[in-house]
Amino acid sequence: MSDTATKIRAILKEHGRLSKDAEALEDKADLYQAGMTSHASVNVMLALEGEFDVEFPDAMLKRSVFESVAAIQTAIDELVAGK
Amino acid sequence: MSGHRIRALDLDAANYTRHSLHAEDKVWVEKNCYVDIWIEVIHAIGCEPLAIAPFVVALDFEGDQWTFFKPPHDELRDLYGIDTQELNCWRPLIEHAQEHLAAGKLISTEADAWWLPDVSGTDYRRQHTKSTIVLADLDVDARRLGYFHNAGYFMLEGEDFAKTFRLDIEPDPAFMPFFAEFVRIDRKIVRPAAELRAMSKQLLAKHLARMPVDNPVRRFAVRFAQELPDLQARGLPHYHAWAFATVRQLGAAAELLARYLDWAGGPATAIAAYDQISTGAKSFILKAARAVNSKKPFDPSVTFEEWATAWDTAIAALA
Repeated sequence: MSDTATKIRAILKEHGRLSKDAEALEDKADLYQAGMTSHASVNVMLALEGEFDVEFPDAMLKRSVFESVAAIQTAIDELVAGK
Repeated sequence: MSGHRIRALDLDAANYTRHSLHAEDKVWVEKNCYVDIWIEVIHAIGCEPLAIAPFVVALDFEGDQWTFFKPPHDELRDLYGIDTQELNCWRPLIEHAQEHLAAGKLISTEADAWWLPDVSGTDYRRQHTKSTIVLADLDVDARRLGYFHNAGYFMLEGEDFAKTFRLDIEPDPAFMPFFAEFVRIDRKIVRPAAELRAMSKQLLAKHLARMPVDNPVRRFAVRFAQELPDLQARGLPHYHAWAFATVRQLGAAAELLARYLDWAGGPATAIAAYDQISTGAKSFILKAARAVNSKKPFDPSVTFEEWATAWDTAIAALA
């Protein structure tokens, strides 16, 4: 597992309020199905921005960007590469 | 207290299929707890909940919140034959539930989300919050309840059952019973789609006539600019409550109207305008959370003006 994915899972564990173990989820498992509410996704977004020192642009502030570990990692990789 | 399983509706929480308004592809899967349970109750009895949506068009900004939009009881009765009356809780709720579920009626009641396991991501065993649920399937012996809450149908049992019905405790004279209603579905009407659309369009005309006289989005923009420093001072927990009362209601209402107009064959310009407000509100909740968290300046006036223009566009197209 990449360092980025490990950090994302740690953030999900702390802020995602998932009903399943964030570290055991499949990369593409639906986080909303796993219990993440829109309320929790706000806290996840803020924690991701703090951890990776990035800011999600408006176009990324939508439900689908935060729907799985893989989707979040794609967004983070893009933002980190563009720094 | 004992009794066998009593079912007003024969549903399986593990295999329950939600209405498309609650599908995962929606921008706002959950709207507000009251309208969400009605969407699912109407769906579960075999009717089309989209037809009840016109009342949402008269949404307004009320100073510290947007309208917490709730379907009018008379329209539930006219469209679907659903009759909702206040339940006079003169005895323990579980006794009322046994009586009315056995008679084929549902019970809508306020409940403490602390004991509702479907909200494990938010309030379940974390926070005492008033929410509305609909009781549909009761087994007193097994201490098991099938209930509608938010966007789905669930089951609770054990301690959650005992606490929800206040069992195993001494009567507390200071306890005020939660507000409850019973919902009669024995005279439900499943109308042909064309008839339902025609009735619903008449409701839309009725509710357009009671629209706010000015643009409530512009009033909200003014209030937000005044309120931002206070939001930043109070922090994220307060912000989440504020966002639910304001942006969430506006965004969810806008999406509900867009999907209603899809169903009703409404004008494409109005659908696009409501979708613009809906998706914009979704990203706004995240951006404003960032501003509250960082306490940095945040000026969304351009965004608000885009929504206000979209609001006017939608209303003009529907008029």
